[in-house]
Amino acid sequence: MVDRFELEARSLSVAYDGADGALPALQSIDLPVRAGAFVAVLGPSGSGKTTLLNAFAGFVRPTAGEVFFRGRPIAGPSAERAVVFQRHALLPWLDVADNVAFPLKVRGIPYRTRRQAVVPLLLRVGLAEFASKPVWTLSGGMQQRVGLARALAADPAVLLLDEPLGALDAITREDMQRVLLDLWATTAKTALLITHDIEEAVFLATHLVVLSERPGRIVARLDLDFSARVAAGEDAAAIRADHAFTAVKAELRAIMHRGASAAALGHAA
Amino acid sequence: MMEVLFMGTPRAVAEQIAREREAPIHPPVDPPAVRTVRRKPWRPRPSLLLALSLVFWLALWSLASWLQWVQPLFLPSPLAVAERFGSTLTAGFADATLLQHIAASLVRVLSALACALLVGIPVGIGMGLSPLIRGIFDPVIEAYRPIPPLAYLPLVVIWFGIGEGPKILLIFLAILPAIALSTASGVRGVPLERINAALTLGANRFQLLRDVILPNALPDILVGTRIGLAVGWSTLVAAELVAATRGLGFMIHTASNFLVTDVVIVGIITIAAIAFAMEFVMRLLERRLTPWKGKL
Repeated sequence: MVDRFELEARSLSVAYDGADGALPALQSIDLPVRAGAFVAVLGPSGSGKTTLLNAFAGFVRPTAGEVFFRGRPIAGPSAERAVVFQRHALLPWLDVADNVAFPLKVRGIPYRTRRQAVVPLLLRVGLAEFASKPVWTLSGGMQQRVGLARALAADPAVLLLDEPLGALDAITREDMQRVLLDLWATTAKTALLITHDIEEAVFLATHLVVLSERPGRIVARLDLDFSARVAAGEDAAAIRADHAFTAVKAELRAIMHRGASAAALGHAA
Repeated sequence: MMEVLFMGTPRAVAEQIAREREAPIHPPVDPPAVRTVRRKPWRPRPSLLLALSLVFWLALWSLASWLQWVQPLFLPSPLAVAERFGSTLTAGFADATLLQHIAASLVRVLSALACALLVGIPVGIGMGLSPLIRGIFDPVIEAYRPIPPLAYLPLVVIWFGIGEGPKILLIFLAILPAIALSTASGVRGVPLERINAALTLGANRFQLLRDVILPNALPDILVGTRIGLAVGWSTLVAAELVAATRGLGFMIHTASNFLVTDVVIVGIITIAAIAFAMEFVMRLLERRLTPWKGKL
């Protein structure tokens, strides 16, 4: 039987229409993602990593190559692949519970039923007591919890995370990484995280790819087990301080600097 | 201990010096507290200023009429106007009391507003979503928007006569651009993330419009309504120039024909007060309905 991946990019290239010709954003990306994996895509600003997520989400079409979800070509956005954005994605006129229940609303589930249905989710992300608060009164970290809970309410197969923690302060960010990790570990969903934060990528990913500067190509692939260890009960702080953890971070930092200078010189990395 | 601080190999000493530079010996001193006792320049409260301004102009008006700088026929005293205000309320002027005039005008402006909302919001949504629809409506609206309604009033009368309909039509035309254009800009201003998020959560096109785009445009629609209402109200006098039998504009027009200056002034003040009240109510409505405006 042919191995079927949950998500797959095959020789994916994406170019945008610019003022003077096509602007290549991604070049020949091959990225198979197994069900249940947590893939982090690490890259500098402008490396096309959000374009990669947009291709998996179905927001942009490949210029060349293909993207698949469970072996079928991706034709457009779908509730099987929910996206969590960095900001601006919540609906400020709704309260927390109504935001989280939005995926149920569009499926025609009645108001009372859907508000009841999201209570367990709100409990899981620590928002139960904020259910009736307008979302715009919450802090940035709380808003991202709403965004996460809402994506999970759609019960997607894949969570696409577009720098969801990018606008948070360092401490809130680490807390949210734990929330994200716990949700991933307990729901057995496939996750694809876009980030430029090396520590975050190393902490969360089971598989990590590094993109070069524009046009983005994959310059490194790593398999990691730190998130699995945390999920298995090891102390997160101890793992972050682990020698192996810091060594991987240092290696990635070197790779990213090399990628940047290679791009500046116009060479392939 | 200071004497023995620098000991060891030259390299160690150099490192020690570098450390000393990074960690200053003296703890940082708080900058001297900013003196807050400086006298603040006197700034009156806005409400006080408003009251003072009203008293001043009222006093000037009283003085002008009392000293007969202007003939009472042209400028009646505030007292005469106040008396006239009372009599138009009870006995009325031109076959209707002041409240009946106000009601007639309000019905016209509010029906015109309702029509403008019914037409302007769908047109605005279309303009915001489709370049084709924008291309069709934008030139027309932008072309007639700057024309004063008084200028096309004769055309409206020639085409549609002098009944109630043409009056409402004139006010409707004055309100429409504000609502259509602000709706269009509200629809165009929806953050892309909000639309994309709704799509990946399973919303179809209709749900996207009803549950994301329209609520997102609501603050702009309300601003357009407030501006439109102000424009429509100021068009009232023009609309009631031709063959009206009631209304504030008609009352002023009739009074001016008979040189009843105090009624003219009563009418003007009433129009101003209602305009002020409308603005107030609309702003209250905006705060109530869209407290999240610009917040997320």
